Amino acid sequence: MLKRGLVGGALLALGGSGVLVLREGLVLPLPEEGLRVLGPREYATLQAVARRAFPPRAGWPDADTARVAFTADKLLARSAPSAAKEVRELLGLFDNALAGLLFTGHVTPFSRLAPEAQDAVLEDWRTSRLALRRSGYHALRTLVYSAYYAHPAAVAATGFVAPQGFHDPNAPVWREAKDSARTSGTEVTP
Amino acid sequence: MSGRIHTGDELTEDRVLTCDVCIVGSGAGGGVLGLELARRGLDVVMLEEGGYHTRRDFDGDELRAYTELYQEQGNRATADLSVGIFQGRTVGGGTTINWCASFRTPPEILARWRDVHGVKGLDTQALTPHWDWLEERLNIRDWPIERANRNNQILWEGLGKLGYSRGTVKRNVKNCAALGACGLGCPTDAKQSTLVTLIPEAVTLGMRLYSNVSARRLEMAGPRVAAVHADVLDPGTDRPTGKRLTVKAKVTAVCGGAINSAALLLRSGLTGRGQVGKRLYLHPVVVTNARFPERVEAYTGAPLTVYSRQFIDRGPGKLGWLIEVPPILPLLGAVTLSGFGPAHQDLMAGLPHANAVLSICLDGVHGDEGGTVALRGDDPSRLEVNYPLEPFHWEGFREALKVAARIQLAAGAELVLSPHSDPVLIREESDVAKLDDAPYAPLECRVLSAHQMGGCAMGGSPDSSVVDSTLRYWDADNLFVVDGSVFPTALGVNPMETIMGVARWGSQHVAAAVKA
Repeated sequence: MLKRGLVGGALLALGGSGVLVLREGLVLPLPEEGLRVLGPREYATLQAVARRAFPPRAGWPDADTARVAFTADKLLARSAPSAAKEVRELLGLFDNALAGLLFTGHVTPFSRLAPEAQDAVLEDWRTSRLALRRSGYHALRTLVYSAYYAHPAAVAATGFVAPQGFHDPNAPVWREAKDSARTSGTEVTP
Repeated sequence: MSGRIHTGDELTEDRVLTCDVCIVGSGAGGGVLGLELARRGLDVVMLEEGGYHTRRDFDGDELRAYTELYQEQGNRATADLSVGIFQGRTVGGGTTINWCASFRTPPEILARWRDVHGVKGLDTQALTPHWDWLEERLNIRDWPIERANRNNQILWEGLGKLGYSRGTVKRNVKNCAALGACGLGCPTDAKQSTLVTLIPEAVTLGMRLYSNVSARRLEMAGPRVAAVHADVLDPGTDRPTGKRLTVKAKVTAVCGGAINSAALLLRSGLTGRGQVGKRLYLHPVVVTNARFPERVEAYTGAPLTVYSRQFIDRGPGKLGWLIEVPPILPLLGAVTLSGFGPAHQDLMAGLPHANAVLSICLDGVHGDEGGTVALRGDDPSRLEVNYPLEPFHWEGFREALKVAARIQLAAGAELVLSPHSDPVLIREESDVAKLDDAPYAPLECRVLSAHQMGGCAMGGSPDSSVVDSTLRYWDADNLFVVDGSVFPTALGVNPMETIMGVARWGSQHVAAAVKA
C-alpha cells in the first residue's frame, strides 16, 4: 500500500523525536475485539480521518457506526508486515505535531484539531508539492474508503442491490475426479 | 500418480516432490500449459501462491474478494502509488476475476514482435489453431449488443453518435446470468476460467496443484534449474507456516504473470543479463465518470461487452488507446472516484446513475521502455514496481479523457468528472477544454492498470530479451516463462486470450524440453 520512500525519507524522521511529538492526540475507546496492527493513537488518528471522510449524512452510516479504523486494522493484519508498519508510521507522521508545525503551521495533533482544520490538513496533504505527501494522502484515503464501503449499511446507502439466490455457500468443492486415472503416454499435439 | 488440488492447511510437514514439469502459477498461462502437458502424459506439479477459492466463496462481498483474490489485497501499486494495479492471486489467476473480455492478438502487434523484437515463429497463422481450440473449449462467444447492460449501451450509443468505430466483445461464459460480479469470482461457474475448465481437466489427467504455496527461489545447478523452493502459506492469514515445499522437476515453467515472474527470477539471481524486470507494460488506464439522468446500474449485467479501437493508432510517438467500460461496484467505485468527504458522498449517492469510460492506453510500441520490477532491499518478499509517467503518457491521457467525455456527453450524460484529484466537471462540450488546464502529474490524475505485460520479454537476442522464441530463458536449459510477462510490448486489447494462445503454442517447446 505504501512503499519505500515516504517512510525512508526525512519526513518520517519527524516521528521519532522532539517535544512536540509527545503532544497527546485523540484518545478513543478501543474496540472490544482488540487491535491486531494499529496502536491506540494510530487507531484514533485513522478514525479521525474517517470522520472527515464520512461525516453524518441522513441514510448513511457515519464513520463510527461503520467502524472504519477497526475494519482497516483487520485489513492491515492480512497485508505484509512491512506494509502494515509503513501505514503505522504514516499515521504517526500524520498526527505528529512537529510535522504539523512544519507543514501547516499548527502544533496541535491532527486528531485533536477542529473539523475544519482537519479538512485543511487533508487538503494540504492532497495538494502538497511533495509527491511523498500526496502518496501518503492517497494511501490513507484508499484505506478508509475500502474499510467504509465494506460495511453493509454503506453499500446499501449507495442504492446497490446485490443479486440474490445465485451464491451457494454449500456448493461442492471439486478437488479431484473420483474416477481419475492417469493417462500415461498419451501424446496430444495441439 | 493421481491428480489432486491441495491447499496449504493440508501441508503440515516439509515435502519434496519430483515431477516432469513444475509450473509456477495457475492463471491464463499456467492453466493452459498445465493441461497441455498433462494431456501429453507428463507428470505436472503446479504451485499457486493464492488460495483455492471456488463458487462457494464467491458471495459478492467486495472486500472479501479483493482481499482474497487479488495481489496485495487489491492494493498493488507502483512504488509512488501513482498507478494502481489490479491483478489476480488465486487458483485460476486473472481468469478467475477478470471481466471475461476475449480478444485475439492484433496482427500488427505480432508483426511488431517479429520485426522489431526478433520473435520468430509466432504469428497469426501459428496462433490461429490455438485460438480456435480455446474459443471452443472456453465457449468464447460474441455478447450481442441486445444483451448489453445500460453501461455498455451508453458507450455504444456515444460511439455511434460521434461516428467512431465500435464492436461487441467476445466473452468466455456459459449460461451466464449477467450478475455483474465477474470481478469478484463467478458464483455460478458460468465464467469459463481456468479454475473451472482447464485446471480440473488437467487434475483429472494427473496434475497435482498446490495452492497457498509461494515459490520463493529457483535453485540453479549450472545452466539448469535443480529445484523450486516454496513456502507454504496459511490459507487463513496468508502468512508462511514455516513448512517448505521443494519441487525437483526436469523442467520448470514460470507462469506467475507479469511482475511476479520477474520477481521470482530476480530472487533466484537470474537477471537475464539485466533484462529481467525491464519493459513492464501496464496498459495504463484513465477513467472518466459520468452521471446520467436515468438509472444505469453499471454494477449489474455483463460488465464489459462493447469496445472501440478508434484511437488505438494515433501515429508515431502518440499514445493510443482502447475504449471500454467497467462495472462500478460500490467499493471499487469508491476508491477510484475522486473527491473526499461530502463531495465524495454525493458521488456515491448517485451510484445507480453512474457510467464510466476506460481509456486503456497501448504502451511499448513507440519506443517507450515501460516500467520496471525490482526487489525491495528491506523486504525481498515485497516488490518494487516503478512506471515513470512521461509527458508522452500525459498527452495521451489528456486527449483520451477529452474523447471519453465527449462520448459520454453524446450519450446523454448530464455531468462528466475527470479522474483528477480535484476533478474537472464537464457539463457540455465547451467544458471539455477545461481538461487542457487540469494538472497532469503523478497522484494528481489517477491512473490504473488491470493488464500487466512484459518484464521477461521474448525476443531475438539475449542482450535485449529474457526468453527466446521458444519461451526458454536464454541462459538456462530447462527454464521457461509462459505468461504475459514474455510479451515484448503491450497489446491494445485485453490480454487473456493472447496469453492463453501463446501458452498453448509454447507448450510444445516445454514438452520437448522434458525429453531433451
